[in-house]
Amino acid sequence: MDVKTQSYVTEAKKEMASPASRTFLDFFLPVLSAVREIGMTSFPDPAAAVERARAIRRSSVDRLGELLETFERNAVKAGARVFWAENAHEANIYIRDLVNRHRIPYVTKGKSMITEELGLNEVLKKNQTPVYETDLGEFIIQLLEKPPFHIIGPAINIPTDEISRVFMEKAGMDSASTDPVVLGQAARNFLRDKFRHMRLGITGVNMAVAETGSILNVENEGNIRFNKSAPGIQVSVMSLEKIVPNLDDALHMTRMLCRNGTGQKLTSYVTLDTGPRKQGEKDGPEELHIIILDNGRSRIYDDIKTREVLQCIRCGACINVCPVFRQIGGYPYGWAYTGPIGKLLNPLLLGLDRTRDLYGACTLCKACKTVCPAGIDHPSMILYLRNKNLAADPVLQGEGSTFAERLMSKTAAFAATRPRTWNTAARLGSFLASKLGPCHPLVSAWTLKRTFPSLPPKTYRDLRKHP
Amino acid sequence: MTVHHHDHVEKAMSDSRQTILGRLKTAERILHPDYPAMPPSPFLSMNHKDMVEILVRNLTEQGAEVHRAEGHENLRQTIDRVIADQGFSRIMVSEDPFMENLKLESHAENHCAEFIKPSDLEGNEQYKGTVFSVDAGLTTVDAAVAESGTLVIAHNKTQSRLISLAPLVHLAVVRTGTVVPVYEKALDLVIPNGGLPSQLTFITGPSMTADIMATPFRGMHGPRRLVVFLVDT
Repeated sequence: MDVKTQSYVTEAKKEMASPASRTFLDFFLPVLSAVREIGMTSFPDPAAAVERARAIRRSSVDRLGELLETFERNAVKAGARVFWAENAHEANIYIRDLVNRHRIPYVTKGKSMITEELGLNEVLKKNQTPVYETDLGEFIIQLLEKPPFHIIGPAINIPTDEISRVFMEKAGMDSASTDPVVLGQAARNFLRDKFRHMRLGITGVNMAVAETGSILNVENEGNIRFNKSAPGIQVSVMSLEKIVPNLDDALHMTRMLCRNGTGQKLTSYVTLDTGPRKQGEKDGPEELHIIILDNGRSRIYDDIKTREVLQCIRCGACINVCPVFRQIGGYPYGWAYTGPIGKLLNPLLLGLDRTRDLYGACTLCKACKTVCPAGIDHPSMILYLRNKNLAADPVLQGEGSTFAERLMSKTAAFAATRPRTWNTAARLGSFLASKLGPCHPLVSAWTLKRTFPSLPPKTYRDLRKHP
Repeated sequence: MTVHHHDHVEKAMSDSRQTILGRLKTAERILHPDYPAMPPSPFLSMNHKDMVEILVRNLTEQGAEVHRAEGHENLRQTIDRVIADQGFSRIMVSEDPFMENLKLESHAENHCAEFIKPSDLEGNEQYKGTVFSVDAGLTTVDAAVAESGTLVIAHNKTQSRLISLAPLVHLAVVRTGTVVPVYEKALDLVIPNGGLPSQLTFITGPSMTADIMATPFRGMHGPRRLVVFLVDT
């Protein structure tokens, strides 16, 4: 998908003024957060469960290399084909060649943010292979040609009349309706035929179990089950951090993922696949291809600070509580991942230079860190990214500081080490601040968005000297 | 499409594999402490009767309909009644030992429903055509988990995947003897020697979505209705 992270500010302004987005953001996000909180209380001991989950994710990331090797060995033993892709291009070409080799007329997809990251739809489109998104939300945004708004509900903000229009135009719906149930029905009818005749289905992976070589998917609609049951070929793409050591850990993380994502104890369907269909079975894929995607993650892994982001399980809990997301929604993030996790993943995978506003626009309120079941300290990593950007970090493609920033810190350092200069500057500063106000072009970039306190005419030092 | 091209892909992949694993394995290693202890789940110390009650409560809350039956004869009657009430005429059934033993087709005196087994159908096309068009799918489940009201099916040649997915109604037979407190116990029951089936499915309520304006509704792609027959055997 196109990277639009550089239009963050314009997109954010647009969204803040959009009535449709406002309804969703102001009303549904607090509800989603509350639903999550209620869901968590169904754990016998929620705090202990969260601590366990965080430990599982930490340990999985610690042992990432060896766990991936174990996973590969066991998946291959079970009959799956494992392909390692260092970047999006390798993964896309692998899938495209598979499609061409088997003369696949069209492919269907379960919801997966990873294929958004790959930009797979564009590659297949260029190959003239139609792609049908089968998750209702993804199906809607595919028809509307919009990016995902939220990783759990990609189209959750789209007004029903807009959906109705596009369904009539492109999905064979007969008469207009603003009833979500009628719209869902129309999508069901349209996609059912695709499921019936599909030959190649593509899914993401929520968890990969090293001990057994199995992959696990979590969903409510049943579209992923179709993609894993109906076609002859199944391709499941996993980013390499999806690994957990064993089945017990996978079950605990699944409990955690469902409660944090939608507040459910378990989503309607959870499927665990170990190899392709066995001899004599009526359905399931004859070929199961598992693509392990790096796409910059092993580089993120190299730095023990940024490595922590690989603990993420994509539950979306951080997104719903984020005060910035609650104002601007998902579009401004400009790529596959939104909300606090998008502020970390997008810059780390795309480079700091073109994602500056993502890690810039954060209040460091720590709401994300507090709810995160995977143990990620988002605010601390955001500060780290800001720092790396100023330091022009070559690995993360930091921009370095601007001339104004350098001048300001040099001046501050000069003054702070010379008491007389400091005192004079403090008096001058106080005088200027009262005369110029926060809107003066000289300082407005820094002061306009902040509540600037009015400065007293005398400094603390003056008061001590002449009380 | 040439062999040459295929070789190229293979080569690229082994390079990528080595590059990726090389980076991961040479990176600085942090070792975190062992997992913190978790208090044992209260479900584990529950007696069987309470466990079944919780299962039923969870199933009902998630929108499943639960019918209780005692013994084979009563189960057949209960299934027949539901089928007759709903006017289902074609039903696809799983072929696991319990379902085979139930011999529904030979006892269906009071209605004219047709029970179709996947093995009756020749080839993939006929199987798919049928499973996508029947009124309901009837399966045994291998375990039922009280903690979330979840039905577990281990798919194999007697338990085809699409029967519980493609029809608009899923009729599921749960034997009280297979009710377990937590998922871990379900695995112990379903795969006692650890050999996993090609697919293990956990079903919790009917298919649903809330993707349009967060309005929940049932039967998105899978069954709109989940009807559970809970039988004491």
